[in-house]
Amino acid sequence: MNSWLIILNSSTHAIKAQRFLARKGYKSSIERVSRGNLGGCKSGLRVYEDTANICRMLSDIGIICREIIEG
Amino acid sequence: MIYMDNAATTYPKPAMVLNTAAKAMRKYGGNPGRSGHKISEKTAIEVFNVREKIAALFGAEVENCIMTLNCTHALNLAIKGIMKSGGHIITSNLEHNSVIRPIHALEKLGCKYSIAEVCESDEATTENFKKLITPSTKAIAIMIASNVTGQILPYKKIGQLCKERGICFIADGAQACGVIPINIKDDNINILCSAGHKGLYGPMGTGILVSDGKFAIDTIIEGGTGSNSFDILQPDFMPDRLEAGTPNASGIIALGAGIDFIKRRGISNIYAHDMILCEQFCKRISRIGGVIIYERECAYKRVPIVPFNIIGMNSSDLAQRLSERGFALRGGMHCSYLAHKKLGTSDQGVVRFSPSIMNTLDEVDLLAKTIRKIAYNGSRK
Repeated sequence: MNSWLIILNSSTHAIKAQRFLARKGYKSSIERVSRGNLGGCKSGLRVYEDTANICRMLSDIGIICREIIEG
Repeated sequence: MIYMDNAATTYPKPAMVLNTAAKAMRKYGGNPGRSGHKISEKTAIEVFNVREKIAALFGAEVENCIMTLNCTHALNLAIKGIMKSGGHIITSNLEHNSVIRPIHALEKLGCKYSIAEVCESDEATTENFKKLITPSTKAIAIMIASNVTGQILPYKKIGQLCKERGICFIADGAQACGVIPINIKDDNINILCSAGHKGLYGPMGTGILVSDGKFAIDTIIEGGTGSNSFDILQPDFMPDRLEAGTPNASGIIALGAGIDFIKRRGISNIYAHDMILCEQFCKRISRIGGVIIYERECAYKRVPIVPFNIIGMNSSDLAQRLSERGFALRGGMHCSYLAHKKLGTSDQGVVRFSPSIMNTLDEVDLLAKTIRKIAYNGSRK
């Protein structure tokens, strides 16, 4: 199953995003990401479909998708 | 001991708050937002749930609900964070030291401030604020309700004044949140600060700052947030920007139970209950010779606080005598020298009766009888 990790600012943003997506019928899970090239510790949201649309919807509720990592 | 000092902190706390605090200490011991393990994640989710409750209660976005140590901490973040780059700020002549001291301290950074007089009439008070606005006015910071007299200031009108002029409106909700309904959007509040341990029935060591996100709040403390760790700069996103350091997670989670408690009881029911006790108290003690109740005849709206004294007796002495007879009330200045100057009680202070939903009419009657005895004995000396 294809998946993408959407990098978000913090765990608060990740939980808000996850709950928002669940209400829209999207499955996701929260992962902790620690990479220097991402600016250090971040929270990521693993999703399985429709990343462009998901990022657009998250942007509408004030959540910025910092980066999308495939796999 | 019968506790009636709820304007300082509510006590006893509801059983659900006590149980949740104990459960949080046992079950949610991970550092939220820091580590990726399950214990940390569970704690982060519980803290998030409380942010959601705060957001729903005050009409804010969840990420704009900042957890602080108390109301003073929140007010310092708000006032200094907005005024860091200078400008003019207006406050009232009823303020608690948690507002006037940070404002006064800003003078060192070149900020100017003015103090508007609060009147009995809302229109006159609003006009006094309006007159003090200058082109450099950046913020108005006031209490929603006085911790000494209980007077509710015309905060919605002052908020409207700020909105029309693009000025940031900072509201100190320490005596109002959980007692009267507050909604930052409807009430034109840009930044609401409150204690978690008063009308919201949470534990001490909890406070909140709720922003509408329209004014950028600069940091006054920086540090670890569990995010952007490779960046020397404090994160620019909320809530991390204003939440440096490990939070009081168990306290925050218990605060969530306090919010559940007031929602179950209903804020309007709690207010009605507390005001009935205040009316009963005033009715009982107004008949006692030598007792003064301050500003009781004033027509302004108020929160459940009654300031009173016995003529010829220092308020701290009276509070001490009440304590010896089993009643916890606060005498003195209540960290509000401005309000006492206005009230004309700078010398003796006042004793403050401030009930909560936990108090009863029988307790009020007992207190009134005790005050009668003290007043009678005092007058015979």
